[in-house]
Amino acid sequence: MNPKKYEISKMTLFMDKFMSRFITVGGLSVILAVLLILVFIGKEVVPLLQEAKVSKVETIELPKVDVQAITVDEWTTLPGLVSKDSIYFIDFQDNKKIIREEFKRDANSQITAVSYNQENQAITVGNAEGQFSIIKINYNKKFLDEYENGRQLSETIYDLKQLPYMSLSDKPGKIIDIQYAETEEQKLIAAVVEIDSKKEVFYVTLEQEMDLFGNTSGELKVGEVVNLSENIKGNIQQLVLSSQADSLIVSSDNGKVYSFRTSGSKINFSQAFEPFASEENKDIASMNFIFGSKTIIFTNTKGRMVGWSMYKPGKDMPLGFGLTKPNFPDLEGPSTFFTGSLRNKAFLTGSKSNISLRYSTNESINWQSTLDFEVQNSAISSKYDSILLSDTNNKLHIYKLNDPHPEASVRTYFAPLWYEGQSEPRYLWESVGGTEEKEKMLSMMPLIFGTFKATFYALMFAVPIALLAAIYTSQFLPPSLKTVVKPLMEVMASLPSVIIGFLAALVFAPMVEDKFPSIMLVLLMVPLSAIGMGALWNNLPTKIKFKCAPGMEFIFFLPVLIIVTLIAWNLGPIVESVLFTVKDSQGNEVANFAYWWNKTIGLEYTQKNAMIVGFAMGFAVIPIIFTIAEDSLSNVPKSMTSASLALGASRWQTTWKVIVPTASAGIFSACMIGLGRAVGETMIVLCAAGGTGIMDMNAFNGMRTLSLNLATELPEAAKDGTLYRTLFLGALILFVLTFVINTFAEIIRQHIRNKYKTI
Amino acid sequence: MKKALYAICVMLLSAGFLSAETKLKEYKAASGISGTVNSIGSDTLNNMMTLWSEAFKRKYPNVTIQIEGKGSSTAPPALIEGVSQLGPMSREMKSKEVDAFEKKFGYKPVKVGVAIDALAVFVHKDNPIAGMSLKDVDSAFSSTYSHGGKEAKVWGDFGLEGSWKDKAISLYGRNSASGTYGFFQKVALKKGSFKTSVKQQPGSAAVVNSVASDLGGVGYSGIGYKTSGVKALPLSAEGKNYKEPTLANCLNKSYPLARVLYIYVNKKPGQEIDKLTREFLTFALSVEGQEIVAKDGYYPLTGGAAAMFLKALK
Repeated sequence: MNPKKYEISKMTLFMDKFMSRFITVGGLSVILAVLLILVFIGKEVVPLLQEAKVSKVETIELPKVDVQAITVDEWTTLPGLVSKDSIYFIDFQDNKKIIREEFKRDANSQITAVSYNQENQAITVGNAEGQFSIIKINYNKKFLDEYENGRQLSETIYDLKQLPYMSLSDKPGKIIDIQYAETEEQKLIAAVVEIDSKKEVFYVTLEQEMDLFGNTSGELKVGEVVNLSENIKGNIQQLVLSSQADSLIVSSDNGKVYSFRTSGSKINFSQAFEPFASEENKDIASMNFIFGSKTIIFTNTKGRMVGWSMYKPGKDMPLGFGLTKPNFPDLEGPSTFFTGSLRNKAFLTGSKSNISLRYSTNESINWQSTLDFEVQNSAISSKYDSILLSDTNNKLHIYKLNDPHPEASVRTYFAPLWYEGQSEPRYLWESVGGTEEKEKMLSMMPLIFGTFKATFYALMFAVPIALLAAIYTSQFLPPSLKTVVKPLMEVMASLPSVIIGFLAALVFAPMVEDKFPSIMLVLLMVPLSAIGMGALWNNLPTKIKFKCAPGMEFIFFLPVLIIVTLIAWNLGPIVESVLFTVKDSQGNEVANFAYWWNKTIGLEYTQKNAMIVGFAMGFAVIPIIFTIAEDSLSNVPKSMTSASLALGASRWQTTWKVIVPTASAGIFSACMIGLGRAVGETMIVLCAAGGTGIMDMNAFNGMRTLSLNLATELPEAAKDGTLYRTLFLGALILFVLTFVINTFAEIIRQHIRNKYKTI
Repeated sequence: MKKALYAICVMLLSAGFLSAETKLKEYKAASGISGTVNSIGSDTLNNMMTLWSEAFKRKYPNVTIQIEGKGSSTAPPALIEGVSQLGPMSREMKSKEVDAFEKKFGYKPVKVGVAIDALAVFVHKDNPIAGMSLKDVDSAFSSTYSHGGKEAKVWGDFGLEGSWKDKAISLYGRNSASGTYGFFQKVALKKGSFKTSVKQQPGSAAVVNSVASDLGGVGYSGIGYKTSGVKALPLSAEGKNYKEPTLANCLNKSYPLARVLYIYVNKKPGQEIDKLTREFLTFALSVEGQEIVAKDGYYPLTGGAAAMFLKALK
C-alpha cells in the first residue's frame, strides 16, 4: 500500500490556495467597484450643495456723480454709471478710462427721473415738462485679428442711440419716476407724474411696426395713454413695471399695492393687496420683480421680506397675486438696493453694508456678507458671473460670482415649494422648461414616491402568485412535471424587459382600458374557483380520489379553469353595465369603467397606469421570486417532511406548519430580491408608466420613477449643469434606497435563519 | 389642399420675382464642393432638411449630408461639441445655450432663418369648432392659466353642442426637448405649465397622427405636418376674429403663432464659413430651396428676409 496515494496532490493544494486568494481578490474588487461607483456619483452630486463663491476683483474711484443705476454689458467689460444727465462708461479694456456721454436734452429743461432696464439695455429719462426719451445702449463685440491661445481677441464697443423726446400726456407735469419695458409684442412706459403737486400714474403704449423677422420700420410713436390714478388710494410711493411688459404695480403709503395687468394694448386694474397685512409694520420699503415677472419681492421698513406670486387660486377665480413665499430670512433693515439675475430666479439685495444673494424658488440665501462700505446701487451681469456695487463714497466695487447651481438646496429637492403659477406648495418635477423664465421644479419626492408606487403594485401582483406557485410546485407537483415547470419559469425570467414593456403599453394597456371589468372578474373568479374545486375534491368519495395519481389533481381543474375564465370574461360587460353605468350630461347611459371611475370616484383614469406597470413588472419579478423561493422550499430536509407525514399530518399541514416556516428565510430573501429588481426596473416603467410625476396612490394613473427619470433626461442634460447633477442625485438616492432595503432584508433574513437554525 | 397651398406659394414666389422688392436669388452651383456635413436638431425641420439635402446632392454628388432630428434642444450641444455643422431649430436659442456656446468659442452662433411656419393647433377633421383664441388654447393645455384661461375638459366648454358637448378634450403635445414645445409654452401658455394630461409625443408626425385617430383630440405642431385627417384651426390672439394659418396672416403677424424656423451655424467673426455649409444655406435660401419649403407645407421667406440672413453669413 502506498501512503502517498492518500496524500493530497501538490497541484490540488496549489489550486486550493490559488482559488481562495483569487476569489478573495475578486470579491474585494466587486466591493471596490461598487464603492467607486458610489464615489463617482457622490462626486457629481457634492457641488450642488456648495455655497456661491464671491471674490473681489477690484475697486475703482469714480468721479463725483449721483449714481442712479449701474449698467453692465454681458461680458462685464464696459460697465456704466447712470446719473440724471449722463452715463459714465468705464472701459476696462483701456485702463479703466472713464468716458462721459451726456443725454440729449433741451437747454432749459431738467431731467427729473431716470431708470435703467438691463434686460432691454435701455435707459429712460423723463423731464419736468412731462416729456420722456429712451436711450438704447447697444453693446457689441468687435473681433480683432489677434489671437491668444487659439482664441480670437475682441473688443467691446458701445453705441448709444437716443430717441427724440415725446410727450407723456397733454397735461404737462414733472415726471418723478419712469420705467420702460419691451417685449417682442409690446413696448410700454409707466410713469409717476406730478401735476399741480398731485402724483398721477400714467401708462403709455409705444407703437412701432415690426415684422416677423424682428425688423422694425417707421418711427416709435406714442399709442394709448391711460391715467390709472383713480384706482389708487393714498399717496403714490413707488411704481414697478414688469420687464415682460405684462403687469404694473404701484405702492401707496397706506401699505397697499395696486396691480394692473395688460392684455393686448389695454390695461386693466386687477387687484389691490397688502403685502404685510399680518405684520405690525405695514410700510413697503421696496418692491421688485424677479426674472420672469411672476413673483414680486417686498420688504417693509423693518427689513421683513416676503414674496408674492401670480397664480389662479381656484377654478373660477381670476389670476392674481398671493403670498407664496413667507419664509425669507429678514434683512437687517429696509432694502436699499436690489438687482435680479437675468438667467435664473436669484436676486441681490441688502440693507446698507449688509448684502445677500438670495434665490426666490426655495427662499434660500446663496451668499451673504457684511461689507466695509455702504452699498448704493448694484448690478449682476446678465451672464450671472459678476456683481457690481457702487458705494456712498463714489467707488465702484467689482466682484466675480461663481454660483453654478443657484437653485440647488435641500429644500429644493425634499420640501414642498410654492412654485410660480401653482395654487399651493407642492412637490413637483419639471426640469426642462420651454422658456428661460420658467421656474425649474426639481423635487425628488414625486420620483421617490413613484418608485415606491410602481414597486408596491408590482409586488402586490407578483408576490402572492410567485409564492403560491413556488409552494405548489415544490410540494404538490409530481417531480416529473417539476422538471418542466421550473426551467420554463427561468426562461420567463430571461425575457427582455423592453419586450414586456412594449407588450404592456401597446397591447395590454388599451385592452385593460376597454375590458377592465372582464379582467378583474377573471382575476377574482379563477382563485375562487380553485378554492371551490379544492373543497369539492375533498368531499369526493375516496374511491374516485384514489383513481388520480397524487399531484395530478390539476388535470381535473384545468377544464374548469378554462370554463370559468371564459364565463368571467363574457360576464364582464354585463357587470360593467350593472355596476359602472353613469349618465353623461346629455342623459345617455354610458357603461364604461374608466368613465365611471372618473365621474363617480373623481379620480383620473389614464391608459398607462400603475395597474399596467404592476402587471408588466410582475411578469419580470415573478420568475425571480418563484425560482429562489422554490429552491429554498425544496431544500428543506426530506427527514422533516417524512417525520411530519409519519406523525399523521396531511400534506397541507406539513407544508404550512413545517416546510414554509423552515424555508421562511429563503422565501423572504426571494421577495426582497424581487423588490430590488422592481425598484430599479427601467424599461417597463419607461414604456408603460406614462411618466407623469404625480403623488397619489390611485391605481389608475401613472407615475415617474427615479430610474425612468434618469433614462429619459440624462441624454438631454448639459454636462455638469444643475439638471445633470440633480439626475445624479436621483441615482444616488436610488443607490442608497436599494442599499438600505438590502441591508435591512439581510438583517431580517439572518434573524429568521437563527430562529429556525435548531431544526 | 396641400397641393393648392403649394400652387399658391409658387405663385407668390413668382410674384415676388416681378415686384420691385428684393427677390429671392436663383441658385448658381459652385465648383469643387465635396465633403460631409452633419445636421442635428429640430424635428419640425427634419423633412425639409431631408428634401434640401436630396436636391443639394443632385447638384453635388460628392457631398454627404447626415440629418438627425430629435428636437431643437439637441442642436446647441451638438454645435458646441462640434458634432454638427448645421443646427436646425424651431425656436430661437435660449440665452443659456448662447452662453455655453460663447464660453467655448468666444463668439455667438449665427442664426439663419430658412422658412416661415404657422405653428398650428390641430383638431380631428370632423371637429366642428370654428377657431380658438390663445386664451382658449391656454384653457385647454395649461395647468397654471397664465394667459387668463380657465379649466376646460370637454368640448362643450368651447361652446360645441350635441354629441360634442360631452366629449373629453384629449391633449397631444411634444416632448420637452422640442422647440415647438418651447415656442408654444412661451406664446400660447404665456410661460405657464402644461397640464400633466398632455400626452407627449416624440415627433410632430406622431402628434398629428394621434389627433387624426382621436375624435376628441387636439394637438400642436408645425403646419408642414398637416394631413387630411386633421384640421388646422384658425386662431386669434384675442377675441373671435380668428385668422387662418396662411402666409399672408403670418407675415402681417395677425396669426398669433407665426414663427421663423432657423438653422444655427458656427461662424467665426470676420471669416468665411466653410464652403459646403455656405453653399447649403445659400441653396436653402434660393428660389429652388424656398420652393422645397413650400412643397413641404411651410411658407417661403420673403426676398428681403433671405437677403438679410445671407448677409449675416458673409
